[in-house]
Amino acid sequence: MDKVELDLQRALKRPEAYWYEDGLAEIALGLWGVVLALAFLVEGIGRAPIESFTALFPIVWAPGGYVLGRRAVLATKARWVYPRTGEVRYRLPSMKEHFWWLVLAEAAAVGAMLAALWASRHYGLAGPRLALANGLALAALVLVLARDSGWQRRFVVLAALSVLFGTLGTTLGPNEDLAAAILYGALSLAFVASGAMALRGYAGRAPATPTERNER
Amino acid sequence: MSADFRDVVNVDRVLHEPARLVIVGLLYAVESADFLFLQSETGLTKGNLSSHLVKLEESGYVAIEKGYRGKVPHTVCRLSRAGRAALRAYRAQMRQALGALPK
Repeated sequence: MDKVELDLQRALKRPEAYWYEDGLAEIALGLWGVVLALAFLVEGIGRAPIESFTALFPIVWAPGGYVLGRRAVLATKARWVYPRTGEVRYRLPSMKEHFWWLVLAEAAAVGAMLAALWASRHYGLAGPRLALANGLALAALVLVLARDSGWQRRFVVLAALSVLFGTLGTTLGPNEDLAAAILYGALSLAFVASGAMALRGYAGRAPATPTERNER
Repeated sequence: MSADFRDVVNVDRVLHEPARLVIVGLLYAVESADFLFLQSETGLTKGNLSSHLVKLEESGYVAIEKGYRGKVPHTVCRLSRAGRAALRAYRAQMRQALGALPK
């Protein structure tokens, strides 16, 4: 019974971990993060094409990056991954669930902005120091990824790096935007490197084979 | 015989087979998965996996769509509503039946 129950637990969690196994999602997230870091960089050195370039993050860069990134990852998986180890289609949230996720995300974004404002007024937590706060928040998000991926070690390392790069951003960044550029740039490159290593490992474990055949 | 042990006797025999339980567990969390994914995850042979899928299909727990991807056969499996309910019931039944065992 224990073995069967254990196998059932593993089976229930396995498809979610499968999404992260090839590293493609990490590479996409990392590339998107590099673009975000560049946006902070051009704003930090005063060369942004429009004012408050990075302020468009919640309404333009985040949803746009999600849609484009997901499409790119799915297309790449269809070409490289599914013919090797099979295809999984994930359950999409219902319209009601979508709505509540949106409300939750917006509430979190507004809450984070208000918290940052409050912290800057009462504790002087502003400027480059925000990079450390962001690094800690990102570490928490990466640990959620780690849990979803079945606690793969590379995500735990990325969470630790997030705190490290947040500290570096706070220490080295002359202003808030450049501190953020250091955090996002370094962490994004770490994501790309981690994803590339995962992809290499996956390709080694699952060499290209003729797609499924002789099924029954 | 106590009610808890009668529950074990009346357990769903289709799901009680470990390989079928794992197949249904894999399908439970997703919209659908193809034959190749199920095969690579369960480690079953093609013939063995096929026969378990047939059994699950006959029980109404799994819906199977056969098609082609290009010129290659492609089989997609999804858990039916009845299959989802059956797995939940099986899990609750086994927990209840064996939860009372002394350590």
